[in-house]
Amino acid sequence: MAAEKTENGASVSLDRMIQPMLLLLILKKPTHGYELIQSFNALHEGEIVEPGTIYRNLRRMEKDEFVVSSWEAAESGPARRKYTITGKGLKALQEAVLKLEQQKRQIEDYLSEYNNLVTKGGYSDEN
Amino acid sequence: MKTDPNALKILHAGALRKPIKECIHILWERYPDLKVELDYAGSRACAKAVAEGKIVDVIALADYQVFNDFLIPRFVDMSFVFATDQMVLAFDEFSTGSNQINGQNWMDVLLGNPTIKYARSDHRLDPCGYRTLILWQLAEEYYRRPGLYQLLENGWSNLYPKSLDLAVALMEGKIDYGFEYLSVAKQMDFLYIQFPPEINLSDPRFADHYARAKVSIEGNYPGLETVITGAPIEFSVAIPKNSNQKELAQEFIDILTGPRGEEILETNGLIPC
Repeated sequence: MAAEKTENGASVSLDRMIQPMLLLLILKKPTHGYELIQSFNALHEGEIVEPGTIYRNLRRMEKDEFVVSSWEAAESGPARRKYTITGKGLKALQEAVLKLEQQKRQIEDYLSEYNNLVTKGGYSDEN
Repeated sequence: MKTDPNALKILHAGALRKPIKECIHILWERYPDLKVELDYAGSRACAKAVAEGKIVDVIALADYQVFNDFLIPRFVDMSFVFATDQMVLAFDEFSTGSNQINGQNWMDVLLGNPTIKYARSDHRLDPCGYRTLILWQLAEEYYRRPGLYQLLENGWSNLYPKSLDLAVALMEGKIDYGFEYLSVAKQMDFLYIQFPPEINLSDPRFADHYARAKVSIEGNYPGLETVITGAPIEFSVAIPKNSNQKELAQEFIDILTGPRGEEILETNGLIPC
């Protein structure tokens, strides 16, 4: 899936659902990449995404102004970059959700067509 | 060595040599006459030097835990994580067995031929050294090869103070294989074998799993041991409290952790984070 351009110029890549998933997680709780990698893969069980891919997408989204980062000190441990969603990021997430709903309907229509065909016996291995 | 009081003094892990130098060139675009004194060693050796009185303006290490063990809170308030990496087995086309080694048989190749020389860096001085020992412990369990850790530990031919020395030895043909950071292997154009994320110390998802491996090393004081627990690799940077050039040091860190620094880190095989 390619990046989808919205009316106001904001865009979010739907590729492998990485950016929509990261935006959702950051909206739920502003946090740093280390923790996002842990929660991303817990939420996205079907496919393992490498840490480097997640960090690169976070940087890309910061460049696109969907998120902003600032250093957050931990009680014990180092400071890490904490990501927060922006107004532009929220809009891009909403656009992505609309697009995903459209894709969901397309997939449901497709499956329904297929199941109807199989149920009515309009398909056999010999076709 | 006599130092210039006006120079910006940067002390860093050997593995960061190339990206640090490239970031200094960006700083020189702003301050062409700025003198920079650059020194490097294994990260634990760097931290020990600062704890023993060495004055520097920036210290960049391969493991944030080294800051916690040696420098925080007495010498440094806080460190900032800026990059990650992973452990690999580096070699080149002239390494004995290079045409047969792969991700499944690497331990058999290293242990099966007594003429093969493989090395690691010193775990007492360099995080790459204790990360190698942690990798071997995790590999023993991952590949279901009881005794593998001890066999690998008994079989190495050379021990180097830092990962960069290990890389130079590999380049010069003094050793056949070295347990290295992926970034160093890429910077030196080595061939390398990647390990699975369950053992390569790259992935926060496996943080609890990595933590099952532990390495004991000489502590900060005679007779005291420090136990290093396995963790994802995280490079970290800080400005020591006694820096004479705090503003310049901050400018340098802003470059390292900013868009141009991220580009440099990425080009050098590290993952900015």
